[in-house]
Amino acid sequence: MRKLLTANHAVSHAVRLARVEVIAAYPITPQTPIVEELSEMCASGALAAKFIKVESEHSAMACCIGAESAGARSFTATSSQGLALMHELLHWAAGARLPIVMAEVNRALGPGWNIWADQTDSLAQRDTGWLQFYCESAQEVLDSVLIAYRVAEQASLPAMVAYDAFFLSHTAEVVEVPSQESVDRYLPPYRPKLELGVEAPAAFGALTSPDYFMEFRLKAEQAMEAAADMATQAMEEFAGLFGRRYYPLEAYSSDDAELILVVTGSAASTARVVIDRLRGSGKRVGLVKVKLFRPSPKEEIRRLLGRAAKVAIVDRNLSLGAGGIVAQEIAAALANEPARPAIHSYIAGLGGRDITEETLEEIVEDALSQVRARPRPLWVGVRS
Amino acid sequence: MRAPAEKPLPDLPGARDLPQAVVCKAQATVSLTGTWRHLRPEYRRATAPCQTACPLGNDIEGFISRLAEGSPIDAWHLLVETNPLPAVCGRVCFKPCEARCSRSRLDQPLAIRDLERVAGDEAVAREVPLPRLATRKNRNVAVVGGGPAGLGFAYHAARLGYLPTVFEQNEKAGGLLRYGIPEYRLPEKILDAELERMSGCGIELRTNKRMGRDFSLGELRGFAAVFVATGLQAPRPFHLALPDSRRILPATQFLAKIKAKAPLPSHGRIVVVGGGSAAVDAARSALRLGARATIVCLEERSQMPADNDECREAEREGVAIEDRTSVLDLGLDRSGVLLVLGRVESFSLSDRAAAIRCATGSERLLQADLVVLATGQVVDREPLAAFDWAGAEECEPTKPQGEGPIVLFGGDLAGALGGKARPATVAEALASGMRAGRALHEKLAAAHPPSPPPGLEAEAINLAYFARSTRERPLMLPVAERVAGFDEVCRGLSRPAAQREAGRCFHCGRCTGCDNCWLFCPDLAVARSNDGVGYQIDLAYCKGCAICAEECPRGAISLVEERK
Repeated sequence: MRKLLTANHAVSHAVRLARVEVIAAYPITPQTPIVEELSEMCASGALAAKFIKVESEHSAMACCIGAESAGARSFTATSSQGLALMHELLHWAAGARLPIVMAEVNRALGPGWNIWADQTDSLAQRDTGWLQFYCESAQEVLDSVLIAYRVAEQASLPAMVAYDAFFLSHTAEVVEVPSQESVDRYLPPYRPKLELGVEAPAAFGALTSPDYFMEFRLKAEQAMEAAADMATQAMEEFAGLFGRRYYPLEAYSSDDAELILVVTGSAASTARVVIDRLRGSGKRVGLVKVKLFRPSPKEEIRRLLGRAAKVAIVDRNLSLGAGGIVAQEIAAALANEPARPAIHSYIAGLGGRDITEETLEEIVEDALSQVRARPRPLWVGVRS
Repeated sequence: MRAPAEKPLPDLPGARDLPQAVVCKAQATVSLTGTWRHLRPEYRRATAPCQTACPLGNDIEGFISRLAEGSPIDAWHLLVETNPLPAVCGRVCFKPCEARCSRSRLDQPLAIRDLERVAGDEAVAREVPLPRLATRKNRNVAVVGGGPAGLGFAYHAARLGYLPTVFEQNEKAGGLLRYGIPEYRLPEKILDAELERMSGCGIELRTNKRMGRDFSLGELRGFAAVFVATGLQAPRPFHLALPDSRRILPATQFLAKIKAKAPLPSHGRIVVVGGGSAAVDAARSALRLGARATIVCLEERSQMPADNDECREAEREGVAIEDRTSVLDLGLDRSGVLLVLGRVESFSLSDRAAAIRCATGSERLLQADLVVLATGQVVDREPLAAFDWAGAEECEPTKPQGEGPIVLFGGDLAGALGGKARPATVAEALASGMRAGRALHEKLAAAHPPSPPPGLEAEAINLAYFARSTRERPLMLPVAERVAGFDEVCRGLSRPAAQREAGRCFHCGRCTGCDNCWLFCPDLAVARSNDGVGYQIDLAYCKGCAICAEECPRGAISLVEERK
């Protein structure tokens, strides 16, 4: 069924279709409409889930950890400061191998107090052990929530689906909402590998001595690495059932490209238009959209970017003192390639500043004109 | 991914054989969900500090709860399990309970005595009979002395199924309650009502029977036991030689004469010597006879043994208190008694001698029409000559004459016989009788009454959960109306005030179902009981964090150390 939905409400429908059993969330702009809609679905009976109102995001994640430990498919949503408050428990959810799925609406961290799009919040949680999917449209957001549950539960790891504040969260698009029957075929009921039960009490996450800690870390890391293939496969099966195809790393007009522009999130749509126009004017430029950030799709990075002469990476995020996070990751993945492209790094669109066609064109023109990559990222569209 | 290890790893299961996440299944020795609990919370009933302080061990928290629920007769039924005279004690008790009330750490202690009076008066007004509990044992016991100790014994013996007979030297029972405490503090009709009620529960009273005068110990052979509580019948010898005069008399006689409306010598100015309760009673009574009254006592005003409230009321009514003052000499003149007073520098009192030092040059004169000596009472040994009390202990059943009945001593008498001296108060006397009754039953029936739960530790009360409130004050007769006669001064708490006052109780040591433990338990290990009363702790989930015990406002959860 086609509906006019914001990405936030697309998430709500995905959660309904995933037959989530426990929702615990604390309101924060721009996430709030997701759980508002979910609470109405719970109240109307459209969704048979327990909706737990909590006093903080830390508690929301704690509730999800408890619910997931008891074998219930659970969900939460947050943004920015709320995600930062969850930080401790993000590690816990991953270490306990609980496939919680969270919608993360990318919003800048204050101060200055700012509710607009910026991916630093979720990228700063890259070491917590959560799978991370980034999206460029409301449709992709809905689909990614379903894919996230599928991969997370297979790998026994939590997953967040991240998308840009307002550009996606509050902008309505036509979205194909799949039928319950088709989603049920794609996403079987959750069967936990370790279940907390009243009849069989057990201590979860107990003291673990140096004799064992590394072994448990190794298992989690192996699961994370395996999740990359699981994600590819889950996306393929999704395409088979629903006709919409996604990739951990999506290449667009990049086969013969000398320069490949790399973007994540809503800017990818803008980039497609820019790439088409530049192609029309004879420039051999292409696009790679990063959808899966964790686990890092290193093989795909090498395969899709390794043959280009130049890569221009647009980071709507900032690791203070180290530059753009996506650029660092891509540079690291290519580090041992014998003939690797020059990495041109750009910072743009922080705190909701628009990344326009002109912004991206400027970046492409700049990268093409540089003989050698700059040692530091170039900040695009700032008043000096 | 596997770096070569520098030294061989211990022979333990490898990553492949481990579960995907850390989980310990049901192997813990203490709790199925962990090993770290070393304290186990347990719901308990602890005895409130007020009850511990009460000589009778009245269930104060219990009776106040019933008052708060609006059931004064239920409250009274709880009180008479230990105390047969709540209306009396609700007026004259020295209230050690209030001194220990936990609420005094927050604002002011509960008006426990006033509340006891509310329950007592309600039962008197409705003429509720005392319950008869135990089945008859057809064993007669004798009580020598119908004062509070004797009555306490008789009451508890009757409750335990014995048939007590009380031998009282006076026309009526009550002892000090009747002949010592003035009408304005304890109206005779209240005393009569409570004593009459006692005779209804199987106690036989024989009045005008003084041991040694009207009967002998030998005549009590038919009784299984004799409880002797003849009190302190003789005035303590004064430290000066006294001239023989109707104008000098002991407080007991003075007060008894007033009760009996017997004639007194002219008494425009009355000087009372002594700082205890009897002295204040005598002085306030003197005012009501139209006299000017002065108390002369050794102690400083704040150190007087009499109840401070009584002293304050006496002063408000017009009694002059000459504190730190001793009588150095005393003689008769044409118009009355002339006292020579001195300023006390130090003093020490014992049963046998008084050592008093006065400042030289501090002498002054005081003229009196009547001098009342309230300097204490001692045992009158004459009626007790037949007893051999060497080594006798209070309330300890002894059998001094081989064949004869078991003998027990109690009340003020026991304290004076070299037993452990106790404060000579009504509650102590009643309690002495109660202890003796129970001791006798233990000896005769080998019955051991259950001991009360342990006392509550003061720190177990969490004051953060209680709001401040103001203690209710009883209605008092206006000062101007008091000295015109012997009308009762304290009129007690009004119904609504009593209800409010009862609502101030912390309920120390008793679970009231406040839900704090249930709300605060981070492991959801506390569950409400299925029957709706109290809670249960699921020890498979309890981690022993002790939050429940900490957040229990009233110490109804204790922590027990786990022994592994």
